[in-house]
Amino acid sequence: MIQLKENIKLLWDGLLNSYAQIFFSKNKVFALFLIIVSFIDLGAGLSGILAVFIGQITALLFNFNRDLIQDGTYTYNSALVGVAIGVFYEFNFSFLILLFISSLLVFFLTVWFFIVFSKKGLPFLSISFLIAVWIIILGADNFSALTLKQKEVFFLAEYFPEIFTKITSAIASLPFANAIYLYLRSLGAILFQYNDLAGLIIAIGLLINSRISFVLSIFGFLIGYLFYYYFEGDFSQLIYSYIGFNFILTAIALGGFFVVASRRSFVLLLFTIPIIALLISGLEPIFTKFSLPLYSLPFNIVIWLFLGTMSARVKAKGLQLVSYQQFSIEKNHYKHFNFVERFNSDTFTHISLPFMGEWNISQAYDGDETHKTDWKHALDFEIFDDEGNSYKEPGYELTDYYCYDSPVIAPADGYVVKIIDEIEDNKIGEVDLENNWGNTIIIKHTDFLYSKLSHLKKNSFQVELNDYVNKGDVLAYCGSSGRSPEPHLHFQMQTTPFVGSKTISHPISYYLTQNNGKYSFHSFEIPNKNDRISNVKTNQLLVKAFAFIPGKTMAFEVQSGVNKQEVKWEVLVTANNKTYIYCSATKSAAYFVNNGTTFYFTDFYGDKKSLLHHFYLGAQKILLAYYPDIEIKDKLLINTIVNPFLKVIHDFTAPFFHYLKAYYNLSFLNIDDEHNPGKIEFETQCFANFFNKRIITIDYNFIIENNRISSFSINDTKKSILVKCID
Amino acid sequence: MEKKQYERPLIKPLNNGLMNKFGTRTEYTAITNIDGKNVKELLKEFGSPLFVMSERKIRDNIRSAKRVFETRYPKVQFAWSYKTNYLNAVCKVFHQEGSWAEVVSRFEYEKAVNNGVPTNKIIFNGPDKTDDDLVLSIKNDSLIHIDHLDELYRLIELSGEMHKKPRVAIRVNMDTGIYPMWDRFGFNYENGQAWDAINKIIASDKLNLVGLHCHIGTYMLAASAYGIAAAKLAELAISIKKRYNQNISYIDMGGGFASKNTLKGATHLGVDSVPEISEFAEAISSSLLNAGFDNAELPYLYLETGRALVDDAGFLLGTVISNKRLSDGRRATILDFGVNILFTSFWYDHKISPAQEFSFNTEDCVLYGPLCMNIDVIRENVSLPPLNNGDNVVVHYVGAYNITQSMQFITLRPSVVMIDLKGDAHVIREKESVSDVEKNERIIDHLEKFKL
Repeated sequence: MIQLKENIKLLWDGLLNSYAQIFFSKNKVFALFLIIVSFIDLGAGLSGILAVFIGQITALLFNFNRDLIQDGTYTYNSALVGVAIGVFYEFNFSFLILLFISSLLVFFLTVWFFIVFSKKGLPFLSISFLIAVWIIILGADNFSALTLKQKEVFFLAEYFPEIFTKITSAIASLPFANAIYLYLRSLGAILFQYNDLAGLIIAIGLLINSRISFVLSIFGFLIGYLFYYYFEGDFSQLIYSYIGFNFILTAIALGGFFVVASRRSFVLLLFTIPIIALLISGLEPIFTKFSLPLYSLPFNIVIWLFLGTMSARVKAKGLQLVSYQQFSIEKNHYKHFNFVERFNSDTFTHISLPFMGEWNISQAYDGDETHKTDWKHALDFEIFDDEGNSYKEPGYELTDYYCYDSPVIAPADGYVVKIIDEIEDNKIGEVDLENNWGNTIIIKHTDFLYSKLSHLKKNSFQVELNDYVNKGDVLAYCGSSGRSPEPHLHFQMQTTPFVGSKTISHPISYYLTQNNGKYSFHSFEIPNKNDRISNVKTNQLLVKAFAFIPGKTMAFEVQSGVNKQEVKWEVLVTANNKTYIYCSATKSAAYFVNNGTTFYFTDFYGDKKSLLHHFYLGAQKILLAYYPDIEIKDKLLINTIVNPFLKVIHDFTAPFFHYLKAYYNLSFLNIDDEHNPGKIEFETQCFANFFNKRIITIDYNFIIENNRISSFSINDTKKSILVKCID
Repeated sequence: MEKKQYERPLIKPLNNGLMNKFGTRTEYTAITNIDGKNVKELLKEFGSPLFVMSERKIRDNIRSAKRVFETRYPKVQFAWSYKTNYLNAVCKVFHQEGSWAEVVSRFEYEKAVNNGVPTNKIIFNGPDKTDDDLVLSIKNDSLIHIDHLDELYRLIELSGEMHKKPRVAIRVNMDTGIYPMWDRFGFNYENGQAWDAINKIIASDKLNLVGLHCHIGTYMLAASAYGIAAAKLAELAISIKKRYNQNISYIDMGGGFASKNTLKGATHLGVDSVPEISEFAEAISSSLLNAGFDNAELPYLYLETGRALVDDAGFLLGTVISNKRLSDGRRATILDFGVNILFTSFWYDHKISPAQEFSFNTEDCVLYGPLCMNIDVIRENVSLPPLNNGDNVVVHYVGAYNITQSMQFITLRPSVVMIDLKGDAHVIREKESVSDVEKNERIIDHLEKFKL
């Protein structure tokens, strides 16, 4: 019984997604709009649904991947084929047999192309539809049992002719009526409905589905249209089967689906849409010889061409391809830019500073002295006193230098792959150019990531070759061997395990800088010359309170006014090791990362009114260290706190600029005992700006006690909620 | 042309020691300025004798000590040892530099509170804490370092009555290979007293054992002894973790780092023989880092260093009262300060510099204080240029223990000034007056009148 229910849901979702996916979406409302459009011709509508159903049943019987059935990937080409041939032929028994066989053909073609194209990392788009439908058209003449529809019959049009004429005349009264006709009919043509009503419904659906797509569809169409206009092209090509829909699909695909919607993606369209126009003009005469319609072939070719070549880029700069497909152009856009602002500089391996306490950068990247050419991405550390001297008077001896003989620690876990330990320290002012790097240790952190520490003190090594060292372990002591006129520590990252390897730029994961007693927090940055820097000292109470280990459950009592309710969460982990907090009552999930120094949320799915969503906002980013003068800042996705209406309006211009922005701040308030903390209080604030005017503010206050979040409060202009941990 | 200073003639035997091309030299140069302030002007303004504290030197010392420890160990906290020098101005410089307070009596405790130190950042050490003191410390959440079992039992009783769990540490004494071994304070490590006390504390469930404390001696010349002590305390902490799954939040290594003073009878000058603070830091931090703590659960390192941070920031300026020839032919110089205010001269051979230029000739002499007491000897034998009546001298390394141990005896105690970072001198304790001394005296009525 449960299985039947599940299967029905699977088929229903799959059906809707099959239609929505034609427009790169998974929006169910939009899918219904499209299905309605297909039913303007009843036969076409039915045959589309049947084709999808046959594909789905085949997939189920043969045990294909259920997720791909459910999200419509296997059957959106079936929908296209069903509607396409439904438009051609009379709906009778022999047609049903053809439909059945064609549906099998397109389904297996889809699966096969899916496999083949996946290997190349390309989408198979509508290739299986094209091949199936061309074969049917080429061969159908042989079979007299199939009867072509006599005229372009719009089944519904016969019953409601006035709707069509009204719409047509209304459009005719508009300025640029020709272009609008062409646009709407091109939209309709995507579902083989060459009329204005179809176009209008799709356009409204598209607008509901995605504002950016809607803008893109108009933009893409206009470029194609203007290209034809300027080159005095043969508009009959565009009018015949309204092939101009290729402009629209390409615009949506490259403007926001495969490429993140931005000013750059719009510029990209300026060049790719004319290519579509060239392809249409070039291919049309060839295909006409075989009496074949071009359909979406130009769109397919351009997308493959673009995506196929983009993967050969040396650096993924400029145009940003969508890395994790959200099936929503808005989500792709906002999440990408939010991700770039929040984590762009994050690195896979976290490198911290190779010393304890506060040191100074005496030479940074691109330094004046020695950090040049292949070795420009290196840092030199020394210890300065408050006067900026690296030594106490008189400074003639190595031991006068503050950093001399200070411990040097491992910046990250790894294997010791090289140790040089036979070079004497220089006298002050002298350099040993023969042994440029002096005593050196190289640690392998991952494949192609090594750190190198140089000018160490002879016989001071605390580790041996091939040892595995943990972050923070003492490796050796700072010296002045090699090209080192005074004691200092040289630190560089490289991709090869050799002394003298070329350096690479690699940020320090988390560190503090101090200026006149004021500390600032830095994440994934490259420190500058003269920075006085130190590692972040984590606070065990915060570390323990935010250690959400999979399997952990949390229960809260939520008090809002007089209402009291209980909320339960569970910490879960996905198959690819993403941890998230799940609230089963609201079916909400908040994905988080805890890397030992910071705890932060990456994503939220589910009910935005749930307590979990508040927690997701209020604990967006927590530094697991107590620093009362430091403010932690982060950026939020605007749709997390901004009113949906404002957000929808914002979507129209989002690719060009953002006038709505959402921020997050954290500051620490209190600690009972810094060395043995039992209670910590901190406050966070989420707020949004319209241009630069504050429009929304939500304040959160957290109390951490007994190694857990003992309570937190949520306050904004409308409500005040108090949440207490009760497990 | 300035009149040349008169220097009395002296007869000196020729020494047949090792010759060098510079001839016989003394270690002394004249000290005419302290932090840019002229010594003679200071004396003129504030009177003689005069204690001078250098704020710059204090800050330099604590900052460099912090730097040395913090670049070797990630969690370090200094606590200013009040008994070393509890002039409020001095204490507050240390508090401004982030030091907590370490006190050994109710008197010092109250001084720390009055100085504005949060009571949970006061470490209460020492064997003498009354019930009243303990109650106050429990109430204030101060760190109580238990010295003996009687105190431990009393503390359990009191915290039971008060229904409040005080934060405590025990003081541990141990053999670190040095002589003399300080075993009069705290619980012994080797014979199991310390472990016994720890078990008693945890079993009582009335006290919150947060730290372990030791103080292996004073004026320590062997850094290695601190390494041994730290290792032993770390071992105790790890045993507690293993047995009770309880983390010790700090290990207090006490103080005792030697200053640059020269002990009486020492073969080398202090400046040449005393280990650098970095050597103490290295010994302690490597012991703790290698002890086997989980990296995330490393205990804090507390340090109660006093002498090494303040000794060289204090100077005593004085004036020559007279010269005389002793019966054995030795020259004696009488100064206007004695052992009553330079208490440390009982165990140090203080470095003393003339405060005015002099020729290269020096003469062995005895330095006496002004007290009419035979014990009043500042230096038994010192080589100084001939000093005249009214000349001035500067005594070095007097910042630790002199101001706190000096006594009002025969004469009154002099002013103390501090030279701030800008080079301005401020009185931080006024010269004692007769009324100060008599303030607490009471006369019985029948003693009021007499006739001579």
